[in-house]
Amino acid sequence: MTSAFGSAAPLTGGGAATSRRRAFVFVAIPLLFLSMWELYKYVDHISDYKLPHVWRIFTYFTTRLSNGELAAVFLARSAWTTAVEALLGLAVAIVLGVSLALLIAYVPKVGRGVLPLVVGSQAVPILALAPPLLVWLGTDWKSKAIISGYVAFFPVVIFAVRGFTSTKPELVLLMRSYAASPWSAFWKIRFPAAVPHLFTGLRAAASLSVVGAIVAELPVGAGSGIGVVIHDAAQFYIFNPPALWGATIAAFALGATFFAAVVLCERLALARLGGKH
Amino acid sequence: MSVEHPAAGDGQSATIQLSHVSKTFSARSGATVALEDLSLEVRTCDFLSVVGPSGCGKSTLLSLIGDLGGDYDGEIKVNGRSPRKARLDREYGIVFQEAALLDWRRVHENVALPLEVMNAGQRRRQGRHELVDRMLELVGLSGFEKHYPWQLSGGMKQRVAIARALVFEPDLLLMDEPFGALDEITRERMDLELLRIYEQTRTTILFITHSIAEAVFLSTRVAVMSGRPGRIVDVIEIDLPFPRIADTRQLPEYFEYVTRVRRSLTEA
Repeated sequence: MTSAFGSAAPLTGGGAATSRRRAFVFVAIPLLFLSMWELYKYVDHISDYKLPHVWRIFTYFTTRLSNGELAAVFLARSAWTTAVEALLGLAVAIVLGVSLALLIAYVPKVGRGVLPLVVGSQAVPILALAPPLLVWLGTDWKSKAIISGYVAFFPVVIFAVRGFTSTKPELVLLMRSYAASPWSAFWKIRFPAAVPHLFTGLRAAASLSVVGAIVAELPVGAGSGIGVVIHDAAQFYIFNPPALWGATIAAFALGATFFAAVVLCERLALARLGGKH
Repeated sequence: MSVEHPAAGDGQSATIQLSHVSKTFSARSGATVALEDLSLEVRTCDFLSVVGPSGCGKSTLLSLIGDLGGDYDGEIKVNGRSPRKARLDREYGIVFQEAALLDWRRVHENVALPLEVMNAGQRRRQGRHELVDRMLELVGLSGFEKHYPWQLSGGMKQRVAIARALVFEPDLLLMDEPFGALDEITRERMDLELLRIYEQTRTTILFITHSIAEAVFLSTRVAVMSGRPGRIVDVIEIDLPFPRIADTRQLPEYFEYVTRVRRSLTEA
């Protein structure tokens, strides 16, 4: 009884309390992380050139670079370059991933041969593939989109296959009883049933596409992008540690933004598909 | 006994004819004979129930008639055609034990599904709406058009499934244990609803069940099936009067029929 009534209270006045609690967690966890950073630095006597103070990293964003540009602006500009590449990469991942998934789900004879290649592709370090790709395709957006897509497509394939093969057998029989065309069976039944799975794959692919774009920027060190900034800052790390950490934060923010954008699309799509989810 | 049979005057032409039908499932471990030399006739406007123990091949029988179950030996005719031809001509509606609704579609969109698929391109949207509304009224779901399947009870979901099966106005309704997953009380209510729909639409119904009482209450004829291998051991005419109401279950004849079906089943 008490538990039943006990749970009634937060339910009635819950809206504001829950969102306040969520906001608290949102702030508290990063703060805890930063405190542990400082605590570790203090306890183990880590010098600043190895691990800078947290506040030094944050004030780095307001410093002027040698060309007079604000570091925050420079990082945002670099992040934008990377974002465009990653977005293209994500598009490559979706097209490649969904196509392969359709092949695996609908042409199992061929798919059985394709799946090991897909799995194997994940064992090849992208750092081994990036240089030849850059030589072959040039250092512009094409090579970066393809490398980013290559890094991100795997979860799309896996979850899309699961989605396309998760249709309830009764629904398949039902469409057969209507003498439905394969086209209409796909769009009326298989595709909508696969959408939640597709988004699970996309969530994972979103951050991976950012990682892929950054990695694609590393080998040359030319042009712009977060990868370039990381590459340069890493070389002079002991002279200016906050520069690398600032770039890291920019990469983190970019990945989180991509993830959040996918989650938002997912909410919108699922709301259109019935609202329960 | 005088019976107000809904089929009265329609003649007794056969909607489904099975002659010497056998079906064997072959697996690596060996072949299983699901149906053996099975013959049965479903007449136009019949409400024919096939009753038998679990695993006797009732559902296999239904899937062969609906051309959803692969090859078989013998001959099956649906409206005088092969099951395949009948399926391609969309001559039957089907209801499964699972309502099998599309979770992402509202009730009225679920009912409209066959019309969309069968395109219906010619049929105007307006007409489609009317048809869907009429079906929802028929199954007693007016006012629930905008609900999603997850907002409905088990019985209501099956009502949607029945409306969906009838919306394109087929002459034949195949039902594979449609109320098997419902509780007893809901099930008895659904039996009454189905009888009402049957009497109203005069659709020929082939109904699969493992409930003797349900088979007798609903049907004009009950086919008793034995298992392993599946064959029809008896076909019993149920001469209970229409319209059938809850009180029909109190009639002595009703109990006699139940006893007869039960005896056929145990002797099989």
